[in-house]
Amino acid sequence: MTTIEQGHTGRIFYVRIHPNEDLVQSLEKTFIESGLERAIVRSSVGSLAHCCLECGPGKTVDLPGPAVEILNMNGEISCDESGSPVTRASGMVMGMDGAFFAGRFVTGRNPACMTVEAVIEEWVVDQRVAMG
Amino acid sequence: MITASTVQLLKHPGPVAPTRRDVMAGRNQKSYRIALRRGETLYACVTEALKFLNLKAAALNIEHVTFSHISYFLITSSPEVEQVAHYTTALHLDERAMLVGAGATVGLTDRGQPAIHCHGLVVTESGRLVGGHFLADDCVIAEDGVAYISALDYMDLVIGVDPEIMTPVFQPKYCEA
Repeated sequence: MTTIEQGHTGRIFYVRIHPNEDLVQSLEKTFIESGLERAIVRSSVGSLAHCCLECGPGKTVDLPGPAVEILNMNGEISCDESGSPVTRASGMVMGMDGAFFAGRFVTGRNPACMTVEAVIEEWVVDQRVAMG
Repeated sequence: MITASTVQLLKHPGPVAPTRRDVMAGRNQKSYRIALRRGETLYACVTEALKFLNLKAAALNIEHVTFSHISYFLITSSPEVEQVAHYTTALHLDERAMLVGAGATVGLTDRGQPAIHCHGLVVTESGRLVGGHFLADDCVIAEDGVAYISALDYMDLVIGVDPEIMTPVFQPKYCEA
């Protein structure tokens, strides 16, 4: 059964991630510390010391640094059944050789190079409506 | 492209800062839809809107736009440079190119002028992809576009040299109400 959520955006967070800190884990730490239940990843810009993107089920691509440029990123952070945060954020990056790649950022494998700036916005559910 | 089992971490030239993540939170922030006008630069369109809205910091999402010219940096590294990575000299694309995606933050320089940190990817009419760190004041708009601004007016976002990486980046701080 499909569920539609009626809601609105709430708090907005600017996150600056310092060198060698993981992109996805930093967003999830912010999510937990801020007591969020759902968040929208609005934008991101910065560079990664190493980049790992999931391109399909069990398929990942690793890009060596020292500086892989994040060209954009969008996605959502929500909680799994145990209440742990799960980030599904995908985007495009440019490797050191100038080649472009895209995929979902893998947790624990995307440390910041110089800086990563990300903006996430709280999604507050007012009502859930079941369709059908 | 490699398949690596290990993740590379970096040793930067300066002392490691104790703070590893800055988080600034705002509430009831406004969002705005702005026009990116043909013939203007990306910088002019965004900064004029921010000035009108009396905003000093914002997240910028560019939904669609086509450029007639862009200038951009690529990132590189070299043993002669102390920083682990640095930008190349400016490169230029002097043909029509449609934006595929971008991420951007708007703040201020240390002299109080608006600054846009923008990375993006465009595709030319021949299908060639070009991307990097866009120099917004030399990205000229060929066809009207649209961007959304998420206000970050609870904080100052000013460029300063980070002692650890010895590179100027946005340094967020809460501002007085």
